[in-house]
Amino acid sequence: MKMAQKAAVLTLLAVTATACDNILGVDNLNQPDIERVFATPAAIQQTIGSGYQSVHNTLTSNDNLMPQLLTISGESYSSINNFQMGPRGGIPRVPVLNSTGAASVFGAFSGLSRGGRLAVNALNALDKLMAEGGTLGSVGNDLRTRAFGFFVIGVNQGWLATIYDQAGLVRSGMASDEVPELGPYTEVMAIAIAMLDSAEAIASQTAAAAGFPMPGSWVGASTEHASQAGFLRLVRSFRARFMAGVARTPAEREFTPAVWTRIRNDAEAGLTTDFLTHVGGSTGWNQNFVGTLMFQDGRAWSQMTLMYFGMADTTGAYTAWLATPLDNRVPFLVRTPDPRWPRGETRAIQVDNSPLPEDQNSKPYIRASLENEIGDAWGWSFYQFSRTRAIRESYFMGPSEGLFMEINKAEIDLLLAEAKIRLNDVPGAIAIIDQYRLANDLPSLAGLTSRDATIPGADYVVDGDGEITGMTAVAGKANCVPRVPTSAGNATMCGTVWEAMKYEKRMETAYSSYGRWWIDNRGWGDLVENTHTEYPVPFQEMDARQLPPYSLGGGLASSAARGTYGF
Amino acid sequence: MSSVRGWSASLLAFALLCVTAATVSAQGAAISGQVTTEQGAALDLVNVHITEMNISVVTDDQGRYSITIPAERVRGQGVVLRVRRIGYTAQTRPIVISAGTQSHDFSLRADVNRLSEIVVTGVSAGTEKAKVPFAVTTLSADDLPAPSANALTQLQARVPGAQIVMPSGRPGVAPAIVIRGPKSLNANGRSQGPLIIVDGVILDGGTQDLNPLDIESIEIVKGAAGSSIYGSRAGSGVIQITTRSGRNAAPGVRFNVRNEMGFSNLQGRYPYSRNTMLMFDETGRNVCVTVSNQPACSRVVDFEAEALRINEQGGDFALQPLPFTQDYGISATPPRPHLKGLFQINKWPTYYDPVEAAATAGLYNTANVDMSGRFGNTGFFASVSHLSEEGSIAYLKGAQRMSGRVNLDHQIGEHWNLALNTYYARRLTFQDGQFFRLTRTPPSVNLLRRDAQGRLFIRSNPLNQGGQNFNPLYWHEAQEQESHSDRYLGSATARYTPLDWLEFQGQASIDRSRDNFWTLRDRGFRHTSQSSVNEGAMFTGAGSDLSFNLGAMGTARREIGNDLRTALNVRYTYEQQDSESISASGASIAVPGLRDLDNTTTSFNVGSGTSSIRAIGASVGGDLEYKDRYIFQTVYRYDGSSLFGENERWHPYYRASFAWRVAEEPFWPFVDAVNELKLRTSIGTAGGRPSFAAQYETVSVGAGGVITGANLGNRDLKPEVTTETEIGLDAEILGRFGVDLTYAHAITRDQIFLVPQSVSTGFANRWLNAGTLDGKTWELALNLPLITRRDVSWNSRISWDRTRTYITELGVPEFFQTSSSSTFKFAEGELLGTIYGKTFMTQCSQLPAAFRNQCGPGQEFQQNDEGWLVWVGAGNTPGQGITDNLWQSVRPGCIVGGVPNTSIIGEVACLDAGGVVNNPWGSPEVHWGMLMPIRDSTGAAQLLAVGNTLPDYRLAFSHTVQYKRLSAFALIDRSHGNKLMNQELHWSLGDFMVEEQDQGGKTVATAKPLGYYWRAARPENSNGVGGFYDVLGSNNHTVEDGSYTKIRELSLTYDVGSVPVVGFGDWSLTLTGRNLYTWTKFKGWDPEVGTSGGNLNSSALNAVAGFQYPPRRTFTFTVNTRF
Repeated sequence: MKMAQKAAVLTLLAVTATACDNILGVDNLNQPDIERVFATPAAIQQTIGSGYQSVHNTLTSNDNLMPQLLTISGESYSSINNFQMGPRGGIPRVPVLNSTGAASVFGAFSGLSRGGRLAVNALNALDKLMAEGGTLGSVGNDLRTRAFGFFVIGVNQGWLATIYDQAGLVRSGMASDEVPELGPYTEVMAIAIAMLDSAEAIASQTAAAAGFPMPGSWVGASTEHASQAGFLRLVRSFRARFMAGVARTPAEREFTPAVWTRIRNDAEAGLTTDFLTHVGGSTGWNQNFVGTLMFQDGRAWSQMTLMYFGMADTTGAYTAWLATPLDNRVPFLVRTPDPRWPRGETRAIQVDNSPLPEDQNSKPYIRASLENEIGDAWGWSFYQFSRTRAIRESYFMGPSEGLFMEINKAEIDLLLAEAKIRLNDVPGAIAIIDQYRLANDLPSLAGLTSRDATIPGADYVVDGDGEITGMTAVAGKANCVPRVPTSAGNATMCGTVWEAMKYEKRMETAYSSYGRWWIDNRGWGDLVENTHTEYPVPFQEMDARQLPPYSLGGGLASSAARGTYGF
Repeated sequence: MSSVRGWSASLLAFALLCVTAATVSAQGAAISGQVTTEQGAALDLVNVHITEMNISVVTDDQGRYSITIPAERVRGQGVVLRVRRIGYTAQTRPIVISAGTQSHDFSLRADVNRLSEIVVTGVSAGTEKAKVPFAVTTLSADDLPAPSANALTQLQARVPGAQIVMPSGRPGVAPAIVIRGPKSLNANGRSQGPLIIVDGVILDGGTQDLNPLDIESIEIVKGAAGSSIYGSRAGSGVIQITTRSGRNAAPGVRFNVRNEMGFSNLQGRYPYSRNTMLMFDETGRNVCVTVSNQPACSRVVDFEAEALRINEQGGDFALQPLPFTQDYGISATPPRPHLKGLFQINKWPTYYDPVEAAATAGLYNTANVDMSGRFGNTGFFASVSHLSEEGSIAYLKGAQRMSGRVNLDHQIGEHWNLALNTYYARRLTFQDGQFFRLTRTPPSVNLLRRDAQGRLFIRSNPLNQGGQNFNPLYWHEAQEQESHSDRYLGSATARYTPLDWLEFQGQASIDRSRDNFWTLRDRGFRHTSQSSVNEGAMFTGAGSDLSFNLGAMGTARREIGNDLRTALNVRYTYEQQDSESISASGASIAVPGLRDLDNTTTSFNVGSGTSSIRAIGASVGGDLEYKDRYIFQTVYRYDGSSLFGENERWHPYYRASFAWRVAEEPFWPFVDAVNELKLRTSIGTAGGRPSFAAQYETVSVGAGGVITGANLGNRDLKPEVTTETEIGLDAEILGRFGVDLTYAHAITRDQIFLVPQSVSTGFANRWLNAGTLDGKTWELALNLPLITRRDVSWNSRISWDRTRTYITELGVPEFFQTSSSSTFKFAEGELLGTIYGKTFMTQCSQLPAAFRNQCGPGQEFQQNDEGWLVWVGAGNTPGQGITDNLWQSVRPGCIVGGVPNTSIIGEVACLDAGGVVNNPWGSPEVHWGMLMPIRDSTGAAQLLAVGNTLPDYRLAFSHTVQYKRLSAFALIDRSHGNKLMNQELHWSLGDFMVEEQDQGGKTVATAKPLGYYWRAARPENSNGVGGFYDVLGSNNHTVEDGSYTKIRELSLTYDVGSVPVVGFGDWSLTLTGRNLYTWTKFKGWDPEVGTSGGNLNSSALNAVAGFQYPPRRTFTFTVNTRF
């Protein structure tokens, strides 16, 4: 064969082979990859900007831990299996069994996986932004976006540290294929606090002011918190919340004065109004939690146990209830001056005095019902915590959207009160606690000087409609609120300044934000014995890392000791 | 000069020869004759051909054939005249093509074992079955005397090694097929089924569109040992369907008209309870209503009157029913005292079997007209068909299919042949049934009842715990749902045979389908919940798939000497599959009665997708055949696919096969007894491709720009490779009895597996190659022509197979996965298809060691009347629960030093003061008479193997009996040892609606309280009570024995022949029954069900009775005539 012919044949073969390979190269035109997602500055900004929304959606998703956090904390009760509400809330507590294949850690894994991925996505976007030459078009925009990025990662890592005993130690600048090692919750929280520190530092820069207000969609349309000052209050509130909430035991919550001082300072510079996000509809902000857990007509969901709520009772019924064996308890009528409860001497009257709330601040927060609930004797009552019903109603009856309480001012106020007590500023704490007590017809604590001072009862002046028109504090009177169990768990006594703070915080944060009661109760030593104080890293993640899974709680490690109330 | 003279003489002689030859050949040649059976009956449709001259004709009704050869092709050449017909042994006769006429008659012997059939699937070139060195099953239309609605359903029980399961009885549903066991650990987005080829068209969709009556033959190659030539799509085997064509048509036109009409209904029953725990007044009709602070039964209401009230007075909604006392179920947990003290003994005031109410005898009708024939060099086959299946459920429309086919075969000159196959089908399917609701309707509910406005009840069930349910029949009647599918299959094949030994072939095939669907719940569609807005909703969507494959092939055959035949085959193929889909939905319909999405005003939702798959394959194959008895074949194929990762685009496949026809050896001493004995072995590889998106990094962007990492992507993703080694023998004994025995060992490596990633990577999963499946299959087929006389014949066929597939390597930590309530374990050494679940104890040996000596008659633990091990306390018996009020007893949890300690987990810590273990499981209590799950050392109920979805073996018998004009066919098959998750029953257990929960007929000693059947939410702690209902988790009660024996087909045909009154046609009448009767212990409708999804993604493997349309039985009458 001549050279020219050979060359032609070889060329033909080469072209054919190349053509074959080209033919076999097909793009995926259905789903984007990371390169496409972050191809433009707008996309980077979008990812960071939607970061807190992701945090919200992660925490409020039905398949996350929220349902069971409600039942293990005594905030709610349910006997049904859905979302592990029943199994986790049962007494005695059982371990969070985490062997390979255990279905019971589904919610735990869902939460961890979403949180973990969110952190990496936000870091990827932040790294793109901070890469040399990376800009969104203006210094102000760059700074506010960076600040918000650090805030998002900080909040996300803060939640992981709060919930799990370990999590991935993510950091800025990680290679995309790097798997960050697991670290203990203390190290994870340190990263979270550092991230929030960065957010505060960047957002505080003078040049950052030009970038504010940030787009309202970043913070669920909260105009207040889209401003520079509002955002800084948000950052400091979350930092205070996490610094205090990371403690697993009362001993751990006995932080050094320096830490409590920092918490106090952050709380003092914290929220001045509730941080409410606009959820549902087409906002992209989940309403699931609101839809299924905040309030349910169904008898199996979101029942209100009297285990902790009963502390409001002033008639002795709560005491009798506690003295009855667990399985033989029957619900009792709570009669209390506290207007967050329905007034009335009988169940029927209380039902009549249980109007539907118009918004989350309407009282009573709690509604009595003529329908009996179903479940364990100690678990059910004929009360429902309906403060959040107004929000739920708007989803299912109204425009399918509304406001969700991410973090309310009362939580930060009462955290400040706790910090002041811890720092021996009891009068300062009482001033805060009294804001809530006086607004709820509970006598002032003014004059008490120690954390363990017993709170007074009161003489009330009641009008013909049963409304309280006057009140005089009476030390030693039995109608004190709260009336708390003794450490034996079968008797009660008048609460202390410390207990008054806890009562107010419970009443004001019930059924509101993620795991609120569980986080506080573990740090205050108030959980039911053997309740898990943290979740193990679910077996799915341990399997992916080729590490052996382990279980916690229910008598194993990370189980709450029998605590303040002897539960 | 002499040389000149010599040349002149030669030229003269040549001229004379030419003149002479021209004179002779000018007369042409005519060859004719008759072909009959050995018994002398004329045989039509016999193919008579002369391969060397590309001449092929077919015998007529009288078995006669005629070949006319034009003068210019008559050269006195020697050729071979061959006659061949499916079902008969082919014959050849050397002849000389010379001018004038010659006659050759043939008498064909029935080829009962089909040894002379030509197999084209898996081989380089058409090969007689007797010489194929791997297992292949061939079926012709004669083997399928009762064609069903689906082309592949009729293969059930006819192909050893092939598990063919109808996942539901819904009209228009295609079967799930798994051949020789699963090949993929994770078939998500893919299939466990074989590659299906129809007339060269590689199918890209289901087989629902095919008209079974068009089929001439089906060949099934069962695994990689025979399918290597198809490369990376053929690891699960290949089914090749050939439709009728004009290739073998006789001159003229013949018509065949067939009409089959009948009905289908449901077999079996659903075991509804006849009793309830609801509280009634003394009339037994009025159910008690709970009123706060009032005594029990202070208010009562008629159960059916309440149903009417909530349906009639609610306007567009059903009202909330009154709260009935003891209205317990999944959503209304019975309190523990009731679980242990309440018995389901109150008779429902009325008993309507909801399934009986919903069942109808729906029309089954198929009309088919076809014609075939030949004009000159062009043969043709054309058919039109209409199938209508109404199904068996009230208000459901079933499915319809209209199809048309034209197949042409045209001979062009001596060397060219052109074949065109075109097929179009339009299929309509309507909504599936609401079987979840149907099975969970209490028996006292009349689903057919209408209110004063003539409306079916929307909430026929007034129980509060049934609030999530609606009347399935209302839904059937009021919801409109329709799906249209247009399918076109076409192929063109050009064959060029320039030389006797050389052939080229080119083929282009296309599979084009368009689907669209819409669902309309019109404005005013009623709801059971008043919190819903009943302004209606509409969903619509469309899909378009275009799949085409191009192929070119060259085959050279040479004989070397007298004994060695060789063949060399080279192929090139290109495949492309393009898919697009779009869907949209909206709610709040503005004006009722319209089907325009613009008519919706809220809740808009859209979706779409697109994908393209491309593949190239090149192969070379060589065949050697020595002395007709040593056969050696090889194939090498190189495949490239866009589905493979970027760094792994190309992969090779091969096959090497050898067959030895022992009975052809001169030394074979048993030639009279065993006239054919072929020993064969083959080793081959074939593949399984990844799904479209597996190789790509994917991120989803949700509302508000929220991104979620989904798949990490893998550039190194490879296809699964199945290496199958097959050995077997095919024998024919006494010239009649056929035996095929095959053992196949398939190892599938590089499993394409979705591996969870650490959450800290930002991605959920990654598709990796990890793991190996090892499957072993035994197959046996017996063909027993027991009687073969002219007027009487009886032929029996038996097939048996057994497959076991193990995970031998996993590559990732073992894990469980639940698919439709069946929980499977993925671990090394695991038998695939094994269901895991809680295991309630039945034997003393299952107790913790410390307690086994307390088990037995008179002891603490005893077997109850149902065989379950329960705690009754020493000295008691399981029958004393009521008489001695023992159902309330609880064996305490862990006791330490005489004090219960609820925090102790595990038996080792549970020691009393004497060091004796006092509780088997630590803190969990044991409740009197209740079921006890086997627990692990932490006290948690263990997940243990409770059965396997794959049968121990499958066995099928078919009988064809003919007496003169009457013929009968029966097909009976058995599946043995397979387990089935009965999700339907399980769910109903949760609502106390199952027959076994009835205590009405039981004695005081055998009656069980609610908790025995129902399980409180927490079996792992002290509050756990009972029971079989296990929140849909599988356990050794709800995973049932799925073994069955089934009369699958029964038909009786009378060959009427000509009917003088009609004046034309050859008539026959057939009575057919399909899926007639099932013997089984399974408590549901039919054990032959399944759901897709999960890792195994095959109805044949998942084996879950999960609210599918129940399998139907069909009775039909067929009139057939041909003329």
